[in-house]
Amino acid sequence: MRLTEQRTFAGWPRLTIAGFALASMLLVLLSLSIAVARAAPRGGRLAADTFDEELVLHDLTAQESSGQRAVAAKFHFTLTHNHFANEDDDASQAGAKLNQMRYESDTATSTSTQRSSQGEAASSDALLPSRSSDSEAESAELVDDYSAFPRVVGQIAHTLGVQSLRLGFTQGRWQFDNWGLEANHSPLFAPSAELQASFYVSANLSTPQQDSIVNQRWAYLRNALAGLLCASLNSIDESITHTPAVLSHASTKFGQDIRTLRGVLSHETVCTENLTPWRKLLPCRSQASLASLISGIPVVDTLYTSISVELSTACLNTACTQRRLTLEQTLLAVIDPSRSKLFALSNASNIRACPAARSSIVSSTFNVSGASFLAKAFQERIVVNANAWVSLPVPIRTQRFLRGSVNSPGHLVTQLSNLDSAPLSVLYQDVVPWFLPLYSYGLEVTTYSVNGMANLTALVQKSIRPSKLRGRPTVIELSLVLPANSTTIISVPCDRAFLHFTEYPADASRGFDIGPATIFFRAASSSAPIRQMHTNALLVSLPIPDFSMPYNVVCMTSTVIALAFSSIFNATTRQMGLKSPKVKKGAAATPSLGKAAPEPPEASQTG
Amino acid sequence: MTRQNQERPRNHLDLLQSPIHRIHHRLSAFMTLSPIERRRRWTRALARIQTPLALLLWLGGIAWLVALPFLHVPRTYMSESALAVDHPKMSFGNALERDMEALDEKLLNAAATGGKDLVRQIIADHLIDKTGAETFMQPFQNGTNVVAITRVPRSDGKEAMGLSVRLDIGVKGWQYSVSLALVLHQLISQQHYLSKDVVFLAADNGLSGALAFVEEYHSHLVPLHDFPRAGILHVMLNVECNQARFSSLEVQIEGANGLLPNLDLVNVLIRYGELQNVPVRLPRSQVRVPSTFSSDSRLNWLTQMLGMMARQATGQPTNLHGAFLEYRIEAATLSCRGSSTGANSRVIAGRLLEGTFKAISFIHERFHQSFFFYLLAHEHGYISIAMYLPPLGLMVAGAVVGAISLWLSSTHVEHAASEASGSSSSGARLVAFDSSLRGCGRAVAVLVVALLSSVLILLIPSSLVVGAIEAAAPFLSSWSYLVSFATFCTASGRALVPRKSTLSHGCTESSSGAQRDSAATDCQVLHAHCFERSTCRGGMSQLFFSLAMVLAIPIFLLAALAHTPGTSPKLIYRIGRLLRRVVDITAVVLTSPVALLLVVGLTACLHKQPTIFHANVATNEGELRRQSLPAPLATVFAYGWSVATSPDLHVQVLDASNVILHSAIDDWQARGLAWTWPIVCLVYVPLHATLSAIALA
Repeated sequence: MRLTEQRTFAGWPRLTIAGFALASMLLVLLSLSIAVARAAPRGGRLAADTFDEELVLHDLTAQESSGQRAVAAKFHFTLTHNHFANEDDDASQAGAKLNQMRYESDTATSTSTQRSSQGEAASSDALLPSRSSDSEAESAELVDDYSAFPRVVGQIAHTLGVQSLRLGFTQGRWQFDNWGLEANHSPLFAPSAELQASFYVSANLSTPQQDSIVNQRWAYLRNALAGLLCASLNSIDESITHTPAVLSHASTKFGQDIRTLRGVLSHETVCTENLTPWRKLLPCRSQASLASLISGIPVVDTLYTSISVELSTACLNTACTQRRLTLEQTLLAVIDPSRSKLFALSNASNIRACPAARSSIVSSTFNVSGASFLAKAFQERIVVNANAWVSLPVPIRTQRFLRGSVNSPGHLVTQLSNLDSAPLSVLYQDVVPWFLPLYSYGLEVTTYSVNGMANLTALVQKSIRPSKLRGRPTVIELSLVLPANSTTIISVPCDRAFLHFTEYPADASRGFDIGPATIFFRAASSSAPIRQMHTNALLVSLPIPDFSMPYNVVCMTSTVIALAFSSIFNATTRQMGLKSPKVKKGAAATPSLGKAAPEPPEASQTG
Repeated sequence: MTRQNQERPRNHLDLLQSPIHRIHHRLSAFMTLSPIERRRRWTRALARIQTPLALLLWLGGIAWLVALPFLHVPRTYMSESALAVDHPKMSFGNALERDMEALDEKLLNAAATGGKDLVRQIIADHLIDKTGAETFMQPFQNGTNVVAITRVPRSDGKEAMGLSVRLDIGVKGWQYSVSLALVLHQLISQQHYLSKDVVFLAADNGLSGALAFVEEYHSHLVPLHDFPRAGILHVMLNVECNQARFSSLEVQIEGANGLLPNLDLVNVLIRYGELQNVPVRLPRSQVRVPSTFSSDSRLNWLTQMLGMMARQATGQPTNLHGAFLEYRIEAATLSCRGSSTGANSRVIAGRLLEGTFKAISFIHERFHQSFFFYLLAHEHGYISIAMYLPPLGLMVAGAVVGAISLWLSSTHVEHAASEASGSSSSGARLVAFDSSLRGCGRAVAVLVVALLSSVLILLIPSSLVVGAIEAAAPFLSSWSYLVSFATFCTASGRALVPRKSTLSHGCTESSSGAQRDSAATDCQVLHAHCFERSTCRGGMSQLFFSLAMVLAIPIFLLAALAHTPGTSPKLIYRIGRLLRRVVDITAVVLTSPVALLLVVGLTACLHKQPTIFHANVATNEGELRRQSLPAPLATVFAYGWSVATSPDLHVQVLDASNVILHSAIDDWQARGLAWTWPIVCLVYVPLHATLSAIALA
């Protein structure tokens, strides 16, 4: 144990810091990963997984004047385990497994999660991916294998047949114009919360069957993750879930289809209550390792924070009975060193290594001497590595807004400017909630060159899936080729739905959040990797009732009806009188309001 | 009096002579009469007193209105607690005064050497250098604005607040305002707590610049390239401080058409003024109260209130903020007043505004609490819509009494006539109660009162009137006059709004090339916007209004038919009976508990605060806008039409009644005929009166 630890942290004293003169914006990419080779000796017994952690410091701004730095922390986990691909196994095992999973994660699971799990457990057993009959022994081994890899995540992945999973919580906006995109890092998450998952489903099933299985697993997954990370992911229901056409690999592997679902919660506040459970997934939690540098409150006091969990599986043999699970936990933060301190400084001097970590690297793309926000003790451990963060400029500038006044129907407009001198191949993907109904027949894509107003064409292909009221979102996917130095305007007429009064949130007057559009792009004539960016998100005012009005209405309506209405009504609509002279002689034939007119025979009777 | 009564010996004779007994005696005598006779009598009595009563009501309404400041004037209070005012710590330090002075000089020099262009350049440079703002020169028909948006670190770019200043180098002391605004913007942008982006606008050419900005921000078919946007614009504060030192600050709030910002915003400004020990006042009324009265006297409050009404009645925005109010952006202007050697420097104004922006940044939702309709009697006292509406209702009530009286008298059965004719049941006739000449005179009297009221209402800002009519509508049953009033008043109110030039600017600019058609519709949409907030405050009164109109119009048609010579009385009787049945059924339905619940539920949903009555305009507007029917008729038509064609009834009801009521007005305004509205109003009513008189004769 001691030996391992020494070896793991042999690098620490070597980490030295050179000069650090820049004083502005900092990107922290703290990435911890557990990757455990099956045969790696650890503490005298077989260790199943590995864990690597890395902290990257990067100066985001080329100019020294403006003031932000990015810090990225990466935690990387890998777990290899046997997958039990056999179809015919008894369902009770799977059910038991599921229950176990729920039991283990229920400390943080909301009651709704439990309810839904219990309610569906019996019926869904058969839908869950099953394990082979020889799983009992391996299962025990598997459980033991979780040493660094968070067992909860592993079990969720295993039980639900998750092929890949991306979950990110983001606060603030990434300034694509100024900060560019990192070349090797996985794409940024949409603001607030984004969840995307791919599931293995048996290719033998029909599409409706697959749909129902996938939807059920999706429900399980988001409920489990909601409990695990203390977020309202459980509210990503069907009305905001969609299948990204571009990302869903309709591929079939080893008799299994892969189905992808994605949902964005556009108004999820990211705070320490998400960070704490996220840290608990790490093998040393926040007691040791690089994660101990991160204290909760400074993390949310940044210009941009993204906390993410990414899970992927890879097959290790041809039958895919053995798979490698890789979990990557990333914290990406942009801080203004002049103001905020990302690191808990008191800890930095006596940072302890996590015994589970295979490697712990702190690297910086710049010389960090004099960086006041890093404690001296910590600075000595930094390796200057210019390639730790390779920033690429983003050739597209986007702007998204609602045209039309606050209270009127308008147009949802997205403006894409290609600043590059070469055409760009772009896939535009927009998911708009049902409460902003789009009139897709009015979709217009117009392109102008920057210098003149010459009309160009950019649209290659379009696919629109209209929304259903309270059912599903509108999904617009456009394939575009943006000409060099041009601006393309995508405009769709939209309306504003009138909600049921129970559908309004407590802060209805704030407005309703519309998530950003996602843009995948690469140079048109190249096979460079596709990069991904977002437009800004939007806030939309919907018609809202005055929630204090019912009381007024009750009072006023009653008053009006009681006093004014009947009397004036009576006076103005009173019988305008066909009356026989006999009535005058008669005693008191009061014509009642209810009767239209005294009938002549009646009149004669009274007479 | 009562004591005297007690002292006197009470005997039977005394009781008989007591006024109560006399009344009782008369009443019982009255009650012994036949119902027809009773009705005839009180109808006559009503007809007799109708004119003086109407006059009395009218005068009473005025008296009540004037008396308002002398009655209970509630103190203003912060309704939105999230504003968290009273936050004393400000970072606008005295050192910034030197920055402002340096900027003053720089701007003056620039204006002298390079004119406005150089000034704009300096402003833009300052914005980019100091705050890293996205800066944009916005050209429009008669000028160029400088627009900048600072993306503050913690915001997500969905909401914004802003600061505007007039860029008018012809005005003495203009540079003081501009440098204050620039330094203030710089300071605010650096605050780390901000949750909303900060917009800066240097509006060229005053109001038209501000309008050009706000229109571009919200609705342009072809967006200007790189025009910066930052989501929903919550608040714009306009700074006007054309002197280096001042003694007091003045807050101006009245926008076009009498629109007002949320009272909370005004309260924040006044409250922060108190914290900074600088008096923040409302604009001084033109009418001066003798100095023997203290500034807290009720007489002062009255002049203050009347002054505010007068400013609203002009329909003209008092400053740049008027442009923003029309787009539901809360806005106000803060001006420096008093001698230029006053006790306060611009730093004080800066601190005040900093505090206000801080408060605005704190709020999570839009301004939706507090009042949108109010009159301020003084800085800390307000008269809410609930208080000033009854007097307005009283003023209109005269016309209603007249209408009711006319209606009753004209449809009464004259038994004598039927007796004289000798015919029995089959020979019953429907005869006007009064002789035709008397009826004619009464009609004229009614309409004169109506005319007087409408002229008076013309002088009151239309936002007040619309509110008044909406609130009064459920209580009244004589709609035709009211509908004309509503139309005329809103029409004339809108005619006074100086939007024509900017509107046409928007249309011409975007109507280049192939975009012409869409630009035209765009302009129409623009027209529709200006009514957004001034109308449709109460969904419920809207509903009643529409409903009552549907009921009332046939009744009035029938009355007109009854007056037409040669119509068979039997026919009228039958129609009347049919109508009566309909009305009866409606009444039963309306008063049933289910209907009550329905109304409550519906109106709760319908009451969209401050409105979005354009929700479905996209489908209706195009066709209905072109209808040249008179507005009331068009409203009824559209009501039925929209109900019939759309399953989404509850939204349609609101939309149709609003859109159509104003569509005719929009139409006129779009054709540049807005100025004719007051004339039409003044001509139409007497014409109507004459025609009615002829019909009655």
